[in-house]
Amino acid sequence: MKGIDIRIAEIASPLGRVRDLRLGIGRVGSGTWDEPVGPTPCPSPTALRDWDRRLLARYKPFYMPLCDLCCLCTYGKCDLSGGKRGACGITLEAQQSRIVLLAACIGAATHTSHARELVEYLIARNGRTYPIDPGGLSVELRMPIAELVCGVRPETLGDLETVLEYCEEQVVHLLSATHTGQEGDPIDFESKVLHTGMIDHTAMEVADVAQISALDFPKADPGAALVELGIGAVDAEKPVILVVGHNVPPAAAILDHLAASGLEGSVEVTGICCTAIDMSRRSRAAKIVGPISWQLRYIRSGIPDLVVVDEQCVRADIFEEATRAGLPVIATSSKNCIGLPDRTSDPSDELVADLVSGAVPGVLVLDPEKVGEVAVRVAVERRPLRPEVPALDVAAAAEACRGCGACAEACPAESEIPAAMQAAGQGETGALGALLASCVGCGRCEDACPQGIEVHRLIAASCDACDRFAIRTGRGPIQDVEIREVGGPLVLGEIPGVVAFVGCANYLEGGEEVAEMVTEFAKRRFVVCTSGCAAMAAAMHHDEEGLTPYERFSGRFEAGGVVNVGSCVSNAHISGAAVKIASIFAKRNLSGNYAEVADYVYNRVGAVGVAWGAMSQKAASIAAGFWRLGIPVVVGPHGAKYRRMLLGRADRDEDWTVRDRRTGDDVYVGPVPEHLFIAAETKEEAMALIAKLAMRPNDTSRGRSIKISHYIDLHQHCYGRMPDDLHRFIRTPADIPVMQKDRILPLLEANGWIERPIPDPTLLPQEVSR
Amino acid sequence: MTRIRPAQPAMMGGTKTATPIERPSVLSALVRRAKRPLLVVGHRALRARGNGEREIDLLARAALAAGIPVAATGDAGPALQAAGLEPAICTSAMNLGGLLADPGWPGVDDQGPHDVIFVAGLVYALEWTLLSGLRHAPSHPVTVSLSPAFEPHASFSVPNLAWPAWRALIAEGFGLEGPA
Repeated sequence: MKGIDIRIAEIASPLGRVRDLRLGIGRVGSGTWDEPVGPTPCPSPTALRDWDRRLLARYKPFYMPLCDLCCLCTYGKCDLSGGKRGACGITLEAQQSRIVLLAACIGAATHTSHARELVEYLIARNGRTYPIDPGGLSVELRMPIAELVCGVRPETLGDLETVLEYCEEQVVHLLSATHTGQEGDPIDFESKVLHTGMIDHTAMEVADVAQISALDFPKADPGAALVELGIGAVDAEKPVILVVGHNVPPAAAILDHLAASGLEGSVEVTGICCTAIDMSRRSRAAKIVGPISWQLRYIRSGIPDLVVVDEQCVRADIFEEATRAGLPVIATSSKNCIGLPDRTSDPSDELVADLVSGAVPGVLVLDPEKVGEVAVRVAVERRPLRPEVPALDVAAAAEACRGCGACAEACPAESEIPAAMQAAGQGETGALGALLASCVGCGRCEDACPQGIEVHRLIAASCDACDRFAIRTGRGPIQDVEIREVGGPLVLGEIPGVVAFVGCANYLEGGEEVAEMVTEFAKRRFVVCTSGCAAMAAAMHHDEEGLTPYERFSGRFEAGGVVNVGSCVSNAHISGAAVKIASIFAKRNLSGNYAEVADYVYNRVGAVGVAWGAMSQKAASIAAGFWRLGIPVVVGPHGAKYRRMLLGRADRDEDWTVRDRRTGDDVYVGPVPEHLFIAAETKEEAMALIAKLAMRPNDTSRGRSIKISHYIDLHQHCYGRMPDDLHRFIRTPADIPVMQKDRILPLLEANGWIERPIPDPTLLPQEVSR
Repeated sequence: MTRIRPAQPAMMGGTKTATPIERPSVLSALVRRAKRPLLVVGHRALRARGNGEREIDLLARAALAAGIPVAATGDAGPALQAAGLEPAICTSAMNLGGLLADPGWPGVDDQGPHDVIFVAGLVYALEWTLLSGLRHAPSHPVTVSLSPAFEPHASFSVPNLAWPAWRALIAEGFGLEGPA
C-alpha cells in the first residue's frame, strides 16, 4: 500500500506539547474510523495461503482437462496425458489449475480495469474529494470488502484509487505466477485463484460504489424502481439507440444528453448486458432488451438505429453484424476499439454527419460526453432513414437445408436443429421457433451450415419473442438495518440460506430455469439475490397471475425477498452482505482481518452462489471470490468446462472436523457445506444441491431441521427417493424435521448414527477461547 | 480403424481418442469382461427418440440384463425406478466423478473400486468433461460411452449414431431379447 499515515497521541518538544497529531502522505482512507487493523491488510498472494490450504484440504480439485496439451511456450506443444510432464516439468493437474488462474486473472483484470476507468472518469467529472455514498444513512459500513481486504475505509472517490492500486499490483503478481517456470504445485495455483477472486470482489466493489455514488443510482434501496425489460418494451416508432457492454459512462451520457436537450421520452435508449442494468439504475426511461445472448437477434430485428458498444461481453463481430444491418456503430472503450478510427478529437458535427450519411460505418470516440451528444443526434437523424427489414420467408429459406447436421454439431445447447429446420422447410415453423428459448445466440450454427442458411435468423424469425417484463433495477448494497434483522436468523439457520443467482446466459435449457429457481427459493423463504444477466433471466417469466418474480416478491434482503443488486460489479454487495453479517451482527473486526471473517462466513452464513449460465472469465473470478469466503458455487452443465470442480468427500469423516471455539475440542460436524464448486446437470439437481450446500456447522437444531426439510423435499423431487446421507447432517434428535421423523429414524439406525455435539465452529486454531 | 469426429467437432482433447464401438461384439466383450462395472445414466436419456421410445428404458433393460449397478444423475432416478430398476446411487455426475477418480473409493456397494464405467445420457459437454476427468484419474478405470454421440475422452465410445442404429447396437451388445 502506498501512502504513510502516522498518528501520535502526544509528543513533547522544546516548542511545546502536541496531542493527537496525524500526518498523512500519499492517499489513504481518511476519517475517524479507529477499528484496529487485523493481521493481513492488503495481503500478498501468500498471506492467506494457510486459510486457502485449509479450504483446499477439504475441497480437492477434480480435474477435467479440456485439453491434454500445453501450448503456452515454444517447448511445446507438450502432451501431459498419462502422467507425462511438460518440457518445463509441469503436470497435467498443475496445468489445469494454471489455466484456471489465467482465467481468473483475466476476470479480475477486467473488473479492475473497469473500476479504474470509472473512477478516473468520475474523478474528472466530480472531483477527487467527492464523497462516496452507496447507501445514504442506511449504510454506515459502505465498503465491507475494501475494509476487510485492505484495512481502509474509503470516504471519497480519490480514496478509491488507493484500493485500486493494490488490486492492480496483485493482479500483476498473480498473472506473473502463470509464467513458465513459476508455480508448479496445483494447490498453490489454486490458492492464487482464490486470491484472485478476493481481488476481483474488491475491484467490483470499488466500481459499483463509485458509480452508485456519482451517477445517482439507487442507494441500497429495497424499493428500487421496476423497469421494463424485453424487446416488447421498446417503442420502435421512436429513434432507438442500442448500448452493449458493461461500463456505463457512455450510456449515462446519452441519458444525460437527452435530458439536457429536452428529448427525454422521445428517444428510446435500450441496452443489452450489464450496461443495460446500470443505465436503468440511472434512469427509469432506459429499457433493458435482454442478456448477452440477445445481441444478434436484436441487431437483426430492424429496431435499433445505432449501436454503441463499450466493453466486456460484446460480440467480437458486432461491427460486421451492425454494418450488415445498416447500423452505424460508435465504439467507446480503449479495450474494444473494433478496428474503428479514433475520432475522439473531431467535432461532433462532423461525426454526426459522417455517421448519418453512411460516409463511415463507425467511429471510435473515447469521450463519453461526446458519445452522448453524437449518439442522440445520429439516432434522431437516422430514424427517418431506418431501412425496412423485409419479412423473412422462413419456409423458403429452410428448404435449402439438406439435413447434414452440421448446425447441431456446432450448437452448444445441443438443440435438435436439423429436424426443426426440415419441418420448417415444409411450412411447419413451430419447432424451429421453440428452439429460441434455449438458444444462447452464439450463431455458430450459421458458420457451420454448408448451405449458408442463416439458421439463427430463421429461429428468431419463427418465434414471437416480443414480450415485455418487469425487473427491479439494481438496488446496490444491503442496508445495515437489513443485516441486523436477518443476521441472527441466517446465522442460526432459521432463514434457510441466501441464494445468489449471478452470471452470464450460457444456459442449456434456457433462462426460464433461473426464473423457476428464483421463485422456488423465494417461496421457500430463502433470501434470493440476483445480478447481471441472471437478474434479467429471472425477470423473463410471468407466473399464472402475469407477475414476474420482481413484482411478486419484495426487494428487501429478507426471507422470501428477491434482491437484484445490479450489474456484474454489484456482485460485491452479495459477498459484502455476508461480510457485513460478521461485522454488524457478530461484531467481528473487519479491517485487514480476512481469515477470521472468512472462517465466520464459512461456518455460519448459509450462502450459496448459483451461476447457472456461467460463461466468462469474469464469472470464474467472481466464483473464486465467493470460494475464498467459504461460499459454495453451483454452475450449470456448461460450467464443467471451467476444467475442475472443488469437491468435498462426504464419506471421509476425518475431513469434516472443526475446532470448538469454547473448548478447543475437535468436533465432527458433517460435510457442511459438502462442495465448494460443482456443476449440476439439471435445474432439479441444482436445487437439491443448493438446499444441501446451505447447511453450516453453526446451524441451531431448529435451523438445521428447516434446512433438512428443504433438502429432503428437493432431493425427492429430483431423485425420486429420500437422500441417503441424512445421517451426516443430523447431529441431535432435535435436528430431525418433526413431520419426517418416522421416515428418518430408520435411516439413522441403518447407518449407525450417534448423537454429536453442536460446536461453536472454527477452522482456525487462533480462534479457540477468544 | 475408422477415425470418428467427436459429436461436437471442436471438442478435441489431445493426442488420444476413444476406440469406437462399431460392432455389438465389442460392446458385448466389454460387458462380459468387466469385473466391477457401473453404469452412469443421466437425464438426457429421458429424451424421446424416434417413435417416442426413450434411451433410458433400453438402458434400464440393459443394466438389468447384465446385472450392472446403476448410478442415476440429474433427474434419471425416477424414470429408472419406473422402468423397474432401483439405482444403486443417486447423485450428481460431478460428485460421482470425484468418487470414481479415487482408487480408494469402495464403490456403490462397498465391494471395491469399479473397473469399467459405462456412461450414457449425460449432456454432451458434461459427459465429455466427466470422461476427461476419469481418463486422467488415479483410479484408471476403463470408460465406455454408450451415448449415441462419439465421446473422444472415453476409452471406448459408441460412434455418432441415429436412433435405430443405436438401439440395435445396445440391444445386441447387451444381449437383450425381444424387441428393443
